Amino acid sequence: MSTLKTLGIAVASASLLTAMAPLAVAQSDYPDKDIRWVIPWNAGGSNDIMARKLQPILEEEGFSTVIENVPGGTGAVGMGQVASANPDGYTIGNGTSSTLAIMAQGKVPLENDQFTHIIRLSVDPLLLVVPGTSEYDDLDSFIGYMEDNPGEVRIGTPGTNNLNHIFAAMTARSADTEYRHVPQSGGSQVIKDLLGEHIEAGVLKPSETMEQIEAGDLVPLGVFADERIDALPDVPTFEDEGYDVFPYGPVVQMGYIEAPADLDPEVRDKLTTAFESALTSEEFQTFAAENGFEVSPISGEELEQEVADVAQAIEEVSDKVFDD
Amino acid sequence: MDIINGLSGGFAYLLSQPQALLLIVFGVIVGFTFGATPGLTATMGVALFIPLTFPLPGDVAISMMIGLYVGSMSGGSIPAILLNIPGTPSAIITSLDGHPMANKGQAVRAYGWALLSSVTGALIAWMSLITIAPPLANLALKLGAAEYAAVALLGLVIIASVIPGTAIKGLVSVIIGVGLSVVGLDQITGEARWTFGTMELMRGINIMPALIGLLVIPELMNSLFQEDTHTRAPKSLAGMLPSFAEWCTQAVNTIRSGFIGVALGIMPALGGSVGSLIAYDQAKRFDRDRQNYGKGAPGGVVASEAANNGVTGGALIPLLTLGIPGDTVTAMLLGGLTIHGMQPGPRLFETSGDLVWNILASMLIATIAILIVGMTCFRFFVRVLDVPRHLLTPALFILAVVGTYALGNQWFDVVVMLGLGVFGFLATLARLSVYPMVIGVILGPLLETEARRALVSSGGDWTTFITRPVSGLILAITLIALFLPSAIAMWKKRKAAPDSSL
Repeated sequence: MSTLKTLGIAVASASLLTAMAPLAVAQSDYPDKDIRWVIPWNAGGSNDIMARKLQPILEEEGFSTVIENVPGGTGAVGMGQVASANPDGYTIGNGTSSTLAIMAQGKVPLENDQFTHIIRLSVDPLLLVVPGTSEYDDLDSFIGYMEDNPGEVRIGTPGTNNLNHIFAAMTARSADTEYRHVPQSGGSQVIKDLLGEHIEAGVLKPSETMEQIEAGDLVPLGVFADERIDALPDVPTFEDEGYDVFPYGPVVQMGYIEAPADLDPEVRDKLTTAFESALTSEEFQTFAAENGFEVSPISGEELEQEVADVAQAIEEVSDKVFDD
Repeated sequence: MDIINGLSGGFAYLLSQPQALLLIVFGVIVGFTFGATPGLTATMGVALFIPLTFPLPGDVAISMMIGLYVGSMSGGSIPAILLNIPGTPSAIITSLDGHPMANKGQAVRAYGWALLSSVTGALIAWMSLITIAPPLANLALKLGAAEYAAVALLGLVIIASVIPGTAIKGLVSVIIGVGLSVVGLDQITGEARWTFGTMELMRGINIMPALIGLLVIPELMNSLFQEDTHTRAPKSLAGMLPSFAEWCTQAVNTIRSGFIGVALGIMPALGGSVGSLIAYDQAKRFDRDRQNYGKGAPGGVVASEAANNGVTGGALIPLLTLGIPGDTVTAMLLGGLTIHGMQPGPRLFETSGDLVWNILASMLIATIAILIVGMTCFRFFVRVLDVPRHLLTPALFILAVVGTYALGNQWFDVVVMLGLGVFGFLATLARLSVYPMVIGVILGPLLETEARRALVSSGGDWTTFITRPVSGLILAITLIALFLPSAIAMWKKRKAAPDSSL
């Protein structure tokens, strides 16, 4: 088995040119080789596309990265690999609120303090959307419809026990009633269910629904955030319409770069600077605007605090929301 | 008229761009090679090469991606026929008859049928795409969780009944496969099942490690225990493609299977294997040669290949018109198109009309390229039969390990693959077929989650499966597929009994 393993490793690394991080590191030269960038989601997903957009911009700054898709367990499998890698700056990964949520609920053997949080990539305010054919084209009438049909209205989300699920529950809470939660395997599958009118509403990101919204096939009713979205200025927040969807503190859908815990401060600074200038580059800003997500590159203490707050809020909400 | 104008614009553009034409063919060759090499997968080929298109200008890059996609879906039948090792999940059914044909010394014929049927299936899908894509996509949207669950059940029942051996053993294999698929995170509640507290098992038993483990490893282990009596590579490839008269005998089968493929392809996330299964079952039902199915009937190869290429093309219908990908490969294609500034979805024709015609023209050229690339490449691939077993088996084993590792960069996948391999080998010793296990792993999660989703939607009302007309119809067909063969057998017995008493 062990010879097989050695042979396999040799063949795999030779044939796939995978850059594995050797041990010795001279920090002042950092980075003097490829950085392994773990995307704990499938190729082609929003995290993957964003990373592949950033990759060439980072390359220009001397940060050469190799993207590896390690999907599974709502991101926990790939992030587990990041947590257990050498904290030398040559392994980084994409943390998201979804992975944070299952960590906060104790569903995976991973802890927040196993990571150094580098910089926030994106904030995706979630939307409540209904099919274009729905007779409820504003938030009030939809909430009224839920009140009139307790336990009948179906709301779809990509995945389960995540932020989308929390906000589906918060929508029902706004109507003070029960609902039917229909989890799907991904955002596009929820859209399919909405277009086929198999569900009455869905909780989705603007980036995954923009096309259908512009075509009129989906109608956004409300934003689960404090402020409206630049790309959809006419869509009110739940707060605008008088509904409180953050009764347990702020929870936000975000993505951020993580490295293993105990990262050298100098390496951390270099990574932060490189990502910050890539994220604020004109090219990436345009990409973000087109795809309806916000770039909000907070880092350092501020990000550590934000991640801790979100994790705590999710833990509290999920205790109250998912125990049914 | 718009179609003709648009298409001729697309073709005119491509013909004026030799670079684009070359990249289509390059994409086809790369995709084809990945699909045709056991252990390497179509998904991997697309994942590795789509990023290479990023620096190219958008229109050229899109042509190459289409070439990759079409090519990667077409190579899988080669190892299925030559080595009984399907290169892609949708080639599983092809190996049922393709490999027995190769054992009879008809490897070239089997591949000729597979290639011609693939191309015809792809053409049927292409014509559906250019003519009736939007209404077809809207029709597909009306199919809900109950219908998906019913189709998954039908696929499971068919695989149990079409493989050689008793239906009971087939069902046992199916249940083992569905059982394996239960491992991992419950998609509806998020609870971990059968993970023993490990993070790795949360991912569940994925399709590709299961396919490589259950199909490739037992085949390799069996070859260790057998004398090296396999057939040699044929000297000439003459008579590869069937003559027109021969093709006519399979014309109905090809066209029916192609349309079955398209119909299932437009249901996102169903995958190519169900299409092949249903088409195979139908072909067997109508073919006079039906007792030879599973023993090397060309009709079986034709049905499987025409259908799985129908699915591949059909899957582009929801992708392009709705922006909904069905599997990882189409999801990557969607990602690639997005990077190049295209937004697949309802407004695709408005926002990027020219590019769409470019895609459709590229698809047709890629399909024709498949025919040429397939005939040329087979010349090289068939030589694998001349490699002595003591070299071939270890080489395939290494490919299986490397390929499995590369799927998700995880050694745990290799452990799962090898574990299932040993299990699959033991199962074959007990004369349990491994094919239904793989189909169980593929369709099990669909059956479970879609059925539960249907129940959530209906508020726990089980009658939803019968009262929804399409779902009810599919379930009725399932019952017929399950019980009709034994009912006919009993009826024949009864009819025969009085005769013998006379």
